[in-house]
Amino acid sequence: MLAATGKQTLPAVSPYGAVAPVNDLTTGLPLLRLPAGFSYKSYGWTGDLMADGRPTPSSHDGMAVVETRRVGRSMEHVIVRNHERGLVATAAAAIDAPHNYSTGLINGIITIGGAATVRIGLTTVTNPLLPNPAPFVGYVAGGTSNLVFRDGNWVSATSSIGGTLGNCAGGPTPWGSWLTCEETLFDFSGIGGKKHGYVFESDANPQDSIATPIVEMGRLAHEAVAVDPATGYVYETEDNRNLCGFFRYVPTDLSGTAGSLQNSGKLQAARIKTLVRQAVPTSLTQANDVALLNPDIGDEYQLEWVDIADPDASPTVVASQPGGVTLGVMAGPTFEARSKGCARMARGEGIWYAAGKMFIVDTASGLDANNRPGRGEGAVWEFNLTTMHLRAIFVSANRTVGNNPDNVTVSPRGGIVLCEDGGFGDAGARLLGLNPAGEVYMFCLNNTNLSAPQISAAGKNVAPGDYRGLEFAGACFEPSGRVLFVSIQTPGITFAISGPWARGNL
Amino acid sequence: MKSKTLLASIALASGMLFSPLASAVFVSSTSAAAGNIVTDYSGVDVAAINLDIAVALPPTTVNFQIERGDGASLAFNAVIANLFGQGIGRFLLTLENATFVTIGSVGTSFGSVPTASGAGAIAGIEFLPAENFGFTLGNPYGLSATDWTIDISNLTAGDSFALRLAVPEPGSMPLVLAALALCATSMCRRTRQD
Repeated sequence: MLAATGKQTLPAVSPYGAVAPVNDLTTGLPLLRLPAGFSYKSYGWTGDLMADGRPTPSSHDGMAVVETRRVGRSMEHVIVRNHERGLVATAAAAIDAPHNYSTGLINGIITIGGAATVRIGLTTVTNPLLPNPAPFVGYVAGGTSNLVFRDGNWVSATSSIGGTLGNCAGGPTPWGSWLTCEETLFDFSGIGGKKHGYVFESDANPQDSIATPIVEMGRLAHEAVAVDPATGYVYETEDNRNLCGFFRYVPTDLSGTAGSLQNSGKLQAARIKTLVRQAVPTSLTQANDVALLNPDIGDEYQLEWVDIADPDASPTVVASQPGGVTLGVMAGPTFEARSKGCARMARGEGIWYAAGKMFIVDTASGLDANNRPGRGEGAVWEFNLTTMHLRAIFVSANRTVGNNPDNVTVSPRGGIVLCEDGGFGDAGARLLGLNPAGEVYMFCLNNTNLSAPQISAAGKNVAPGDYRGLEFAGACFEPSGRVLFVSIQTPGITFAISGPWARGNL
Repeated sequence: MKSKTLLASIALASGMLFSPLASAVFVSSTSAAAGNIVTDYSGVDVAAINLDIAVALPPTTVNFQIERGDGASLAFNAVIANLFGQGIGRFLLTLENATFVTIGSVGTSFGSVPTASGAGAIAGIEFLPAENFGFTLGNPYGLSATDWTIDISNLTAGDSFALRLAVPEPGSMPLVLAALALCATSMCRRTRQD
């Protein structure tokens, strides 16, 4: 249902029907609420022992099925899963994969200059008269793990890349790997570590993962990427409140093979070239500055692409940005993009390729109660790769409709699934479906509320707690569309969900 | 022989195989809706297929040809993938020129409970709740499940038999059950006459 303001004001009715608690086929616990006919199997809980003898890392995030293969008469899928982790106290608690980026002890603070000088450690200090914050101390603990799912059953898991920081989402490649994105701008190279904010390539075979950053894809607060299979260009979102651009990487090597993105390329930022349709008219300059922060459904722009000279530029502190951002750290390439009049997004999140289009989530599009743009409940943009038109197909008017969608995927049937990350509260985080009219409906509700006896009976190692309000992440289907894989980031559980998908559009 | 009269129980699968098993078959042709794929894994002593069902109707027919016909029965197994996205409540297998000897295992992955029954040339499976992912018949993955068996004692090298696999429409299942009951009665009567 559309409001006069051009935002969806009420949830649509789910074609799959109402949700109700369903017991997990693995543990017997009612972890999810699903429509009638759907069932699921949990796997890869935080702390579960993996095939490489290590405990499953925490903070499950973006995922994709990167390889589907016949093994005899079996059908096997390899899923790569991000772990959005920061620092841990001991090296043993970090991910130890066949290939690791940064393994040294981080000890100290970092300083970023610009409109002001900020010192960052365990807290951020902007007042030069105040003492330094407590230092970072620990080991970089992000990375990826690979999961194997065969014939409807979970088989195994293992570490696939380590030593990276804040691996939020990423995206699959047509050549069977996963581009894992660091959502951070921290430079630990002066305090025992390395620079972060890069994209790395995890392979279906962990031995073939590449723990060397693809520097020319940009040093950004990366969220997710998606490859246009027609051109080989990689489209990139950035998640940094109202300090984001929308980028793409044009590889020099278009062979579409593992490691090919490492062979140099050009980073470009999107700039609105033409105002195609706006509910609230603006100038072109205004549109590039703020229009994407608060769109209405149907707003449409034609984009052009601007070369970024220094994709590895250091971040800089900026002041007085839209939406009440008085002081913030902007990525170097984004700063250059803004100086060239490129478009600003609020908080770019998931991006997924399907049928000649990219579907892009901005989790914070809209206004908050104080009418600040880029602090709303989120939107979905459809980007046509042929026409370069960017069109808002869904904008949430309130959290009942959509509460900060984050990761996104498109099912083989063409249906869009959104993972909520808004902390909706007791009602629980949701998986949302987007119907062909562009209206969202609830498909699944997080029902994970674990007591100590339940955890013990299930043989798990997570802390008791009510996790119902915590985010879904990493939604993705296997190619036949029979199974939806998705995780609850905290306490860290991955699910395989199957059911009568053809009842609806997913 | 009593085991010939009561062909409906999975529990009867063990200890009732004909011997010796020394036939070889292959899939000679199929009749399937566009998008439905039959892959042949048959060989010595076993008729084996993977069937991907993207379209539930019409039924898929698989014709097996006897390459070497020295045995009285064949093992049978299959992997059935439900790619059409609606739950399978019931599944029907019908043989032509052969009959089921034993009804072996039926395996599911996402919690539905199958109940298999069969007599003569017809076998049926009911899933509760409906099966959405797909299922296995027999032991296609070489694990601990039990293959079905098919009587081909009336066939020799060069002969064929057909297997029709169908997802009955909900309203048609009473007819199927009636047919199964009729077959069972018929088999019982014939056995008594023997």
